[in-house]
Amino acid sequence: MTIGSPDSTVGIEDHPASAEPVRTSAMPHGKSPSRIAFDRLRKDRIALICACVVLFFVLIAVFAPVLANIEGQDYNVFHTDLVDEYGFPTIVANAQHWLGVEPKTGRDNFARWVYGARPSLIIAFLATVFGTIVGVVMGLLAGFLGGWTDRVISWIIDFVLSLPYLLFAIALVPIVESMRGGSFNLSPQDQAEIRFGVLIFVLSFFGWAGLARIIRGEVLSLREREFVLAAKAIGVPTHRVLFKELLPNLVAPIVISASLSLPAYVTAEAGLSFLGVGLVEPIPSWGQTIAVATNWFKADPLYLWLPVIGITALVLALALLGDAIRDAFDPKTRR
Amino acid sequence: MQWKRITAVAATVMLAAVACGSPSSNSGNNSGSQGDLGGAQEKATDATAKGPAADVDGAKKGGTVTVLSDVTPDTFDPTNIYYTDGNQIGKLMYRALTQYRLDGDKHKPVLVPDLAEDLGTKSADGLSWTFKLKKNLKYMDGTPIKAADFAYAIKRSFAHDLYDAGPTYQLQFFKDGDKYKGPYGPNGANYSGVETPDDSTLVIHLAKKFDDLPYYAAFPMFTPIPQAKDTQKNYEQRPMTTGPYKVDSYVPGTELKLSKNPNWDPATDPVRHQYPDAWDFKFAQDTIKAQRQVLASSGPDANSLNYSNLDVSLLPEVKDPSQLVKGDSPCTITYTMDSRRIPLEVRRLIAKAYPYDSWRKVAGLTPADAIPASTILPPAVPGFEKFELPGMNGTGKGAEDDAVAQEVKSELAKLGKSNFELQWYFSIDDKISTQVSQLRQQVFEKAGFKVKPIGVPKAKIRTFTGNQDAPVNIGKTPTGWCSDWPSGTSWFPVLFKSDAIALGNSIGQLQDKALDAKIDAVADKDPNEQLKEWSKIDKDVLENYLPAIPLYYSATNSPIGKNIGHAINDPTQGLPEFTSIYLKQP
Amino acid sequence: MLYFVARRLVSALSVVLATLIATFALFFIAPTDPAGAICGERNCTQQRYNEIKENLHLDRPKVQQFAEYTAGIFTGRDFTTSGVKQHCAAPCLGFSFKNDRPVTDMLKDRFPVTLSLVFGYAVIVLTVGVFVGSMAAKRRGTLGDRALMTSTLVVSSVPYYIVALMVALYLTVLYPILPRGSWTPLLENPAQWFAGLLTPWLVLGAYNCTSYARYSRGSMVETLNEDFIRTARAKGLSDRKVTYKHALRSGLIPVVTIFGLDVAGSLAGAIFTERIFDLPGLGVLVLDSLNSYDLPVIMGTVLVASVIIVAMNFLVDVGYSVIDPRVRLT
Repeated sequence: MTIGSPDSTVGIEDHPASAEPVRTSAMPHGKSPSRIAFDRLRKDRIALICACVVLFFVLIAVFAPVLANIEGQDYNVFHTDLVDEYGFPTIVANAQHWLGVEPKTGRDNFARWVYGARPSLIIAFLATVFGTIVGVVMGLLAGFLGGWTDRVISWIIDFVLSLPYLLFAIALVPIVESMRGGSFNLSPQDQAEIRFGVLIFVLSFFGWAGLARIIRGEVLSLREREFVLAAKAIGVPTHRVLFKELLPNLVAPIVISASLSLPAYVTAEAGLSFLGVGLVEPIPSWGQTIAVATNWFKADPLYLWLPVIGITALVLALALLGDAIRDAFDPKTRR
Repeated sequence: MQWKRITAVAATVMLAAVACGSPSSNSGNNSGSQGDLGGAQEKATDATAKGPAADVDGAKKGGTVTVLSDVTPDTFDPTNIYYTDGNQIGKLMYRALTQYRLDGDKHKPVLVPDLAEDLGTKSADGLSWTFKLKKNLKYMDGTPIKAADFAYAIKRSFAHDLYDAGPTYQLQFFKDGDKYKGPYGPNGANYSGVETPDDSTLVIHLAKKFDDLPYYAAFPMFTPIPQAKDTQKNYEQRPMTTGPYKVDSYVPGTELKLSKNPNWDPATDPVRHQYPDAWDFKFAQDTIKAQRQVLASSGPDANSLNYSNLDVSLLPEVKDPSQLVKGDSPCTITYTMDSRRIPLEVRRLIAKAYPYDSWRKVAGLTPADAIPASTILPPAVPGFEKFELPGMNGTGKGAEDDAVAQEVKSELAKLGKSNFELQWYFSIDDKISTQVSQLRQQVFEKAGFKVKPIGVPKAKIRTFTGNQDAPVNIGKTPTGWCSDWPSGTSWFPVLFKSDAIALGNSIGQLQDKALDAKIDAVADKDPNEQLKEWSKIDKDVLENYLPAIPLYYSATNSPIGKNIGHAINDPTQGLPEFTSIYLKQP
Repeated sequence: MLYFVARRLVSALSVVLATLIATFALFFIAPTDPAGAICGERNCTQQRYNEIKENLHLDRPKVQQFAEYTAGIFTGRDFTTSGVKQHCAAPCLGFSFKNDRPVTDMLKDRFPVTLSLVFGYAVIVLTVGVFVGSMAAKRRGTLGDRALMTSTLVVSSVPYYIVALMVALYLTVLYPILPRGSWTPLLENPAQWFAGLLTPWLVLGAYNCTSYARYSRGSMVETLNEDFIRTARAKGLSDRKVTYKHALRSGLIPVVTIFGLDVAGSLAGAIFTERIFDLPGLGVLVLDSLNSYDLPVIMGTVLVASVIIVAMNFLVDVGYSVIDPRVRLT
């Protein structure tokens, strides 16, 4: 239950160091806001640590098959011989199964963990990309074109923002799925993949509106600036004004929004999977594992802690990184 | 919904009730004990039984029993009750024409008269049954019970659109069952299937012979309902109760509270007791949480119980084994194959390849509540005889064993059926169903079959699997069956005859005239003679027809609080019996 | 002023109507079969299926069905089954497929649970969160402030349901330090009501206190820099009076508006809290209905939740414009 980010433009920590980088003669005079932000980011230790953590997870996700191969296990193979007749694993971590096995099915925990990083990251990334693109385009059109376009788009934004997000997402998933995957002659893998796509759609459906609103606000104020008026006076076509003049000035809110969306989407996907409306078998997902592991937590705590640590570390790193990025772009903060 | 459906068994027992379309009623001869898969039984009726029921040793009066239930019965309207739990809870409130009394330390169910004087008298042609009713009995508010009320209740059961969950045997067997639509429509008052010649006689007219009617008459739909008090959909809020308890309040899906019925006359009731002062049923609880509370039994939790099977992850927490109610339940779960699409030889190979042991683990079944099966008829049904055909005893590795996989593969090749395709439905949003499907896929593919599992949403799967013409050849419902009453006549004629397909309860879609004749021959015999014959049919079906592979018999393994006394398993429902429970320290 | 309110009202109503259409469309676009769902899993004859379709008016054109559904919300509707007339009192949101109860009744049963949850949550968050935030604002720049801000950032970055789940498992089940979450109606047993809700309140409140602390801190910092505060200080008022009597009032305005929207969001379903702590509220109602494809319940709940959110949005907008006249001009 988040209530949106606190307004960061109101003074945050004061740092003794000055904000302006030292200028040497070799440096070009005047840096773009992005450059300034990036430099500040590089100096922020916490941001660097977080970036490393995120990179670590990305690498795990990308090289999951390789890692699983090194261990020698497949994430889908049942090893019911390692589970007693009541479903409790009979082994703990050993040489073949580095992190033990799952109750009841006996599937390898390590393989499922490394593969579990994938859906979280892929969905978050794709949803962010789609949400950002749609949000920016809508915001640009609404802000720049004004009039009826603005009214309609603003109304749609209001509408989307006033939907009870979680409830709707939960209700929407099975419905969109049955629309899209209407025919039932699909294998389990296909069904799971459709659910995957549906999740991305549903998450971006709710995500673009916030960014669109911000972009619209920015465009409204930029619209009356001289460089825009000048471009229009010369006769530059609208789309060029939008993409070549306005867009570069909007980098800050776009980057900030994207970097804050990522952890939100990872949380959302895991949350939906935890509730049972997210990803389904056979795609391994941390959220799903958490839901099942809750029942076994007394007998097999490792089974629960693995995905919990995974999600927590990933989201924490992404969130702190996003926060650092936002601070880096904010001219009011002094580092 | 992951949290609530942990063990497939808890789900399956309830689901099996749906899949097989009937909760049990079985005056099984089998008992409370688990390993006792005993042999053929004697008759189990006692038409002369009278109240009061024999006192339970050491029973005390008083106190409130709390039932923390994770499942939610869909209704308490007596005409609409069909599921086992609704039925079992209903026994506290509704008396019917007949009832089951659990006798002896094996808790053998015996059919006895309840509101009727006897077990009914059949006419010479078998098409009419006469029940003499006990006189001077009252509802919980003191008003007298009339014969017309019994007739009205039966008429009410024909309004099947309104009471769509209730049993349907009356539509099939009672006179004009296909035409009469219940008492609410125009001309609803006239129904020739029931008659009340005087105020203590009820006559039922049938369209075809129904010798098991006295057993059917134990269902709650036969409880009397005064027409003036029938508020249809709202009846379950303030029903007219005849049992030891009356309804204080009912919030559907949440809570049912019962308190003592002052007008219940124990001298007329051979079955029930009225030890606790009140009952508090809380529904929709979280399974693990509720069961944990019951096991811990701290404070008021000692007076509580849960009637689902204990979740497997809680087994290590059971410190006191007397806190588990164990016993048989009259249900067998099978793996069905469409005999019209899979030839007999291939069916035998499927049985060989099936990974029983792994499947049990992945499905979350434990030896405590799912006993490996080797017959169709479960031990709780009279007529059961234990036999085991080679390779079919509900256990084994199947084609997980490489040697077996090779064997099956080469046999398929010899038959010219290599890569024979198996198709089935599974629930895409149910973890266990998906995992089980994956397991089967892996193993069958190893054994040389081609496999096509089709995922559908859990909420709709029964529509698909219930379609006898669905494009799958495995797993059509019913995939298991619970006895509607304690006799092989509620199994074999219902499941394996050619007409079962049209009725929607065929296991294996058999259409063999010879088998039909054999089954009919046994069904026509006297009930006592039948007891020795059904087991032979059972063996015949499995040996020569194999429409389904028996997987397990369900069993009860429910947790009860430390202060609960005389909680025994009722083998007719596969649930703890409520009517003789008392609190050790009220 | 009136023009502003009217404009906002029209906008709000249009959003509600759009939500209504959207939920209705959800109901029908989904290739589900309401008649089939009601007809049930067991022997469903074609004749019975047709009867149900007729009774629910499912064979009429969709637009007409929508009109009837909408009209039903205001005036109630009558359904006939097997010759029995069932009246669904206004606001009629249909009948549940699963247990045939009017959806409105089911929502009424669940609402007190969610309301109680939000009530306790509000108390914690508005007192502790705001207090901590204002204290931090006063001591801006000190170690305590920085520590607070960092810790709140970290805590609010961890997904909420993970925190709630771990607390529930380790502090109420494994080591019963806190009472387990459960629901007892207030009127039935106030002590039990309190005990059952204590842990969810603490978890939900503590988790969101962090956000509120940051918000109020930010807002208070801004307010404390204003001229009128400097005047108050110059007048010689004590520091405490300045902060808590003067600054807090105007500093709290943005916090209160955010709170309003937050409450609306929570009323619409604190689903994770309800699921993890076993509270039978609105949120889990949708989850449970989803599994049984109980469309009327899903539709009804989503509709009600949307209306709540829109209404709160509207109230907050109007309220804020009353307090801050500059808003009206945008």
